[in-house]
Amino acid sequence: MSTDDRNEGKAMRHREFDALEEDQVGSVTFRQESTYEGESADHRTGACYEIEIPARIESIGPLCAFLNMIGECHGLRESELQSIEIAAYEIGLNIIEHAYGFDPNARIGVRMKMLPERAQLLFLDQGRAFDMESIPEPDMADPHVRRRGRGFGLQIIRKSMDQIRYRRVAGQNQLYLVKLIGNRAHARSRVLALQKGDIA
Amino acid sequence: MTQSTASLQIRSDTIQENPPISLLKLEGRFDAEGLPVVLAEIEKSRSTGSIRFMVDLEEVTFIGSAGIGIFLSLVEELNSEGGGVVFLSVPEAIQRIFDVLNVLEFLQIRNDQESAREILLSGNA
Repeated sequence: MSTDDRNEGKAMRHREFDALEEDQVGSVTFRQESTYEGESADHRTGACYEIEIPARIESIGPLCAFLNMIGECHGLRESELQSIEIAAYEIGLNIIEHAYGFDPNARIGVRMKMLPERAQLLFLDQGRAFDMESIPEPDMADPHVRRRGRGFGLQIIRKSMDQIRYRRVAGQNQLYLVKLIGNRAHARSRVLALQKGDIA
Repeated sequence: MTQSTASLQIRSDTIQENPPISLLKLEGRFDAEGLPVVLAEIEKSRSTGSIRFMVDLEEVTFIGSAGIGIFLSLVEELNSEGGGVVFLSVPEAIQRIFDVLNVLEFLQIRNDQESAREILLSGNA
């Protein structure tokens, strides 16, 4: 695929997001210098973005486009954008199907925070509790598992993101995810590991 | 024959009659909205007795787990019938997702139709 094709793909995603009507997506807000309940105790300044969407399959594409635009604005690499996109897509579908049981009136909140070395995402819903950590990894070596052709979304989420934490708070599902970004993330993690004595 | 959703186009052809080899070419985002259309195209080709498929993914920009599930299921089904599936020109981003799921070793991936045809006709797909 050529660079022109990729750029056209991105432009198409941007148009997809731009074309959304307010009543389809709900409010989109931009915040800075804030942290959210449920996040790790990291008080450094970061740009924060929020979006709330109807819990419907047709909303997931625009959600991915929204997160992609934020990532692009913050200079994320193509592979980092793709990891966040596929994870967000699969999480959105899981919430719609398993937490809400396809309730068309339900809504999903998504918060994205950009720090110099990582992107943090928080998915919020009021559906049934669903702890993905309790679901075992599929055994892809088993031909019956492959033939069944279902249940691979969680594995994609786990492998695409660097940290995942779930908790249930006052009837709300909170799924917190981290994607480490860029060379600085790698350098920083090595410095921290050195300080802790994890690397000789 | 071409079918499409808002974000995905699917073109299906028979590129060889005896034994039949079906070609599915996908373009765009293969997400949940595209699933029924892709399944219908696969079923249409299967109903003619085709057990050998090429799936061209060169122009696919995104694939979700359900789409991968359809392909994995098709591979297993056709392999058990003596046929098979060869994926053509798989973009790096899509290969990465196959890799994340540890399924690359179960898939045949080639960059041109001729070598794909050889595999399908050799019975080693």
